[in-house]
Amino acid sequence: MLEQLSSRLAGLAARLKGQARITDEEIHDALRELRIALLEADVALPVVRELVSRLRTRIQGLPLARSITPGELVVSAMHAEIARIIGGGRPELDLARIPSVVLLAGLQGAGKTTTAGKLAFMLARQRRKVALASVDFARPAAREQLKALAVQVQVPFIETEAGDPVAAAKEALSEAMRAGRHVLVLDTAGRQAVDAALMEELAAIAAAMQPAEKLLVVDAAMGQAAAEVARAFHEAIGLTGVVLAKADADARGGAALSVSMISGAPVRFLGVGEKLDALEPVDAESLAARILGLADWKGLLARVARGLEARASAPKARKRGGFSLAEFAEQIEQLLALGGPQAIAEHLPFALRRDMAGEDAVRRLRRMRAIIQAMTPEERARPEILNGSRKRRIARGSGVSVQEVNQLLRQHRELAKLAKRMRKGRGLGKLGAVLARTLGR
Amino acid sequence: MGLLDRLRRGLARTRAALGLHAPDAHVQEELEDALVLADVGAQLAHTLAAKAARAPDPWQALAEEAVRMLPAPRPIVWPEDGPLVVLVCGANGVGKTTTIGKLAWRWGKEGKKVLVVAADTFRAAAREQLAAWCARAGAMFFAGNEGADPAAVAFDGVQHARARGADAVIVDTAGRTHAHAGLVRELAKVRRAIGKALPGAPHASWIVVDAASGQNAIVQVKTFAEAAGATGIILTKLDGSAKGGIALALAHETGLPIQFLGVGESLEDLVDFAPDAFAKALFARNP
Repeated sequence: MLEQLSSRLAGLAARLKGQARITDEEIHDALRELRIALLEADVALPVVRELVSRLRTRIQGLPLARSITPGELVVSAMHAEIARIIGGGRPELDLARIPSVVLLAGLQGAGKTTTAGKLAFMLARQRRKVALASVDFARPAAREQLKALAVQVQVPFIETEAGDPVAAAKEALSEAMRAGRHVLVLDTAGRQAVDAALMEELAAIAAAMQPAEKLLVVDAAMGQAAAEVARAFHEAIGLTGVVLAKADADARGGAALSVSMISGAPVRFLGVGEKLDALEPVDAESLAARILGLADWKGLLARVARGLEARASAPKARKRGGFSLAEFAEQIEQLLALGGPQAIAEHLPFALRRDMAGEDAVRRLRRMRAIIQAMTPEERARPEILNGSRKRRIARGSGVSVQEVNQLLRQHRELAKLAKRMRKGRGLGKLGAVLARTLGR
Repeated sequence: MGLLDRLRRGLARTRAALGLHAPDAHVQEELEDALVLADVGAQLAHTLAAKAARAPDPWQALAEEAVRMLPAPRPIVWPEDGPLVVLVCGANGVGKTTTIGKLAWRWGKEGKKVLVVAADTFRAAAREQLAAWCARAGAMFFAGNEGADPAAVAFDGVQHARARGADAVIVDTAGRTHAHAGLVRELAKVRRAIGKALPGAPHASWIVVDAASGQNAIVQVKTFAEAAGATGIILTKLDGSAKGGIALALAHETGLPIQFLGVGESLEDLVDFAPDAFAKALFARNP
């Protein structure tokens, strides 16, 4: 896969030397390769869709530097986005409170118990007063396993009485406090599926214990089910972090991205081996590169950074010709970025102002953006091919009426005429300045 | 409960995920997405969807293609003299121990004398967990000490089984990642040790795979298949969140048959794999 992605991107690069900006077709190609790469890494399909669509709006019409290819630019943008999602921005566990409970949850066989042992070992080495306890009364010998691990890492193990897990968890916490322990790492019963009764039990434990950290342990080899699992656990207890277990195998670990994106919780640790010190804090950039299958990601990022610098000092490439639907979408994006309806109204070109009344502008612009996004790259490049059935499909895809699609196309035609006039040096003024700012480069 | 019912119960989620009504527009895209969501893998999903979308009844066409792709399980041939020896391996946490408990219970019910050998000498409390399952299943249990050489334990276990007149020996191995060459070599050594204790053994070698696995299951199975001389796959946790489409990817990439499906948490929840029933359950439009 690693080689696959690289050769795909190399193919893109070969075709696209020396252009001024990314075309729709190139974006389409690059995003398709990215989509496959992410799916092969077992990132959940809804997450892949969301990422690809975010990226599409972000890169449309991006100017290119000669030294970097569109593929490289797209991949580095995706890499940054993934690193941002899994990195979260809160690297350390929050264990300031005394006592603090770290609750570990996950499916059966994900690696919760081993992670509990490793985590206790890591915290003990940070000179925290940590204890281990388990309220897994379902799996045979689960508590024996954790007890044996506790002995190995020399951390006190709090015995629990099989029965009500909530009562047992509370009892374990008081016991830990009596023993002068500040942090309790609590292992819970694995869930085979997203089972309502067991989720309620977990939610009850979390409600009673008010854990400082609620970590979901996910198997690095997990497939599409990660999305449903993340949603269910997050709804039940509100996750604060993700542990990617068994990350020492060669699985790309897309499940971590799925869970982070759906829960908003950062990936905190990687389980990287069978030994008890094999728990590592996450480096978001390198995990993002692993998920994407990028071998030389540091080199790539450096190249892109250099390329962008070079571009800043190079003379601006001027684009001739029409005003494409992709540029229209970009313009809408910039208008939306202005903020409230007032600001937007002030910047609206006349061709749009006629069709839009103040408060409604944001909603209308979003609908227009959705219409353009629902088109294929070919349709965006050549809107003249839009026949009745294509328009119906676009309307369905963007949740609007065919009339609204027609209206958008009419607006686009008017703007395109205007843009052409402008480039010939006529019809400037306030409107011209706005359009020049949003269209010209 | 009949096989098909059990399968359907276990795969109810799969059907829900794959949609109960026939798609009208964008047929291929919908098929492809459904297959991807079931863990079939992006490339194979694309190929299968492109082919099925042209058929008058695409879901039916997918089911038929799946039946063609999925190899039938190999029949279990019980040796006339001495026990049937089965080696079970897989990654950590895929459900090996539970599966072995179910197998022991199943064969015990058929009147076989079953002995389970715990050659997982690494994981803390692995023996205790397996012993608990054997007690539930009514099987004999043989274990080495924690930290002992797994190959030696397997050798002793098979000899012990012969002495005790067992009909079936199931050898459990430690969960391991296929990326760890040393552990993979150890698995090959366990297999050779079994062959020394009883020529011709192991008679079958099964890789346990979690149905919730993504595409990494393919390289997992390929690596274990080589080291353990695998003859089949056991797909577990089909009652969970997983859709089980990885079965198609595994068939496509490794050609190994699936022997059994794990469809629940109780002892009887291990069913024989049948390609047509599985495909039907995976793609049927009406439950």
